[in-house]
Amino acid sequence: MTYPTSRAKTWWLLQALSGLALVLLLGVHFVAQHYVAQGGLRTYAQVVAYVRHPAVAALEAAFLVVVAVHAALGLRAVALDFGLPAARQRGLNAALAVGVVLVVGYGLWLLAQVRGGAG
Amino acid sequence: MSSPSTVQLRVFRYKPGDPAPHYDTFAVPVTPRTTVLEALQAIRRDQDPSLMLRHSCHHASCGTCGLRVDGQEVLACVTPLADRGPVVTVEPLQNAPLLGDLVVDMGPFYAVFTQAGMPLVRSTEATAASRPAAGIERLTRFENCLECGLCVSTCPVAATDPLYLGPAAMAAAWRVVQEPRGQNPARALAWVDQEHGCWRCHLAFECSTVCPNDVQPGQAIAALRQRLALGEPAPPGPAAAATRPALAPTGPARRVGLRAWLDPRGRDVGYWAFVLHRLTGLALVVYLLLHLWVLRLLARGPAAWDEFIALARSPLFLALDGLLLFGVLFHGLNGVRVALVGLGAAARRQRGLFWAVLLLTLLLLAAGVAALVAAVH
Repeated sequence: MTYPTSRAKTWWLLQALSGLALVLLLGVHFVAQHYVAQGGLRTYAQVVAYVRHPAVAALEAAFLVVVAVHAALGLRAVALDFGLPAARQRGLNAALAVGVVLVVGYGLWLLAQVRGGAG
Repeated sequence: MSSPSTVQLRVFRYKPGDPAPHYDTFAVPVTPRTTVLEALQAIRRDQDPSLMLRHSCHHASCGTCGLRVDGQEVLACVTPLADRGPVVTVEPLQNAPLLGDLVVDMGPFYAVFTQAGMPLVRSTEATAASRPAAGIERLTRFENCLECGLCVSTCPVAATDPLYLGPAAMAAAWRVVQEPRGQNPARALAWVDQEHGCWRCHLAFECSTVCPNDVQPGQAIAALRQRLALGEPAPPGPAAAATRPALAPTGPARRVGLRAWLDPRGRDVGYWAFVLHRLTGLALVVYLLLHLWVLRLLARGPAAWDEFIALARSPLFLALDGLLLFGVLFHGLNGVRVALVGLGAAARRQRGLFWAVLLLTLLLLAAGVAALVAAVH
């Protein structure tokens, strides 16, 4: 069996860097939601007011993108742990990319709905 | 001289053609100095001459008698049998084709060393370039590799990925990088720089734990990553297209798959860090999707959201929140540990870092749970 010339290093570094970014973003996400937001986001009105702040919206959007990418890379790593053949890696990469786009797209749509005061 | 006591040796049995492996139990007399290998030889001599096992030197020099004793990879010739309890289970190494009973085919394992640039048998005589340089003492670790295969048997990645190059061969590649002796270090780097090479390793460090000669393959893999990530790039091309001999189907599968991840016998902290990192990672992916699904209630308006918030204050929900917080904290903090150790920084302190991660996780978890409870009341 022949190995492909891989981009394994890039994948691993991307996962490590997205993970480190997540630690920072998640920290800010927690602190902002539980300690900075007035009232602690217990009511619908508080949530809408919170996400209408441009900095909060940017933070949540960035968090969503990074967490989706990191999760996809993690699932890819698990698949490769189980010996996914090189011939199927392209298909897996494409499926995970579609998954990331769907999750991020849905999350951003939801963010926009809430910022607009939907419901 | 003490009188011998008796131990029940539960031995893995399989002969080519058998429908499935089974275990036979033999009563063997043991003294405090009896080794597992001596007991197995006594079984073959006195009870069952058909028992298949490998051995040679009897003093931990040849690496031939590697086995799993009560789930842990050891050299049978230097492993005492006494003080292990009344029943001791002996099995062949994992992640290698099984030939029969306690004997596995080491051919694929040996062949990978040639690809790493460290063939077990040289095809040419030593040249001036292949002689060790001054200061060779620091390289004695890999020189002491017995090629026993214990590291590959215990490796959780080798258990699931049949293409994985394995810790021993990558330690050999690191040895070529450090001290080429006429070999091409760039080729060794290119060989390990692949999906099933050094980037597949999850830093469980079981390989280093079981190595009978302190070769420290896990640290070697971390060093290879560091060189690849921060040092000179490995050249692309034919050198990277290395091959690994396929495992010949000579017996029932000894690659145990996911079950190996959850086998608690004889594991060190690095292994548990790996398993917990995987489990929390998969759980967090599920949570991410669940979280987005719940947040859809926000798009439905205040009534739906407030109804959910009331539910979220139930004791069951709070308990799940605590579990989630543990997963997030451990995965995040251990992820930092993995990134540091995986790039060769603090690879020798990975155990201490694991305990620091666990302590910090528990401290932050306690603070988080207290904040959660206070918020509800």
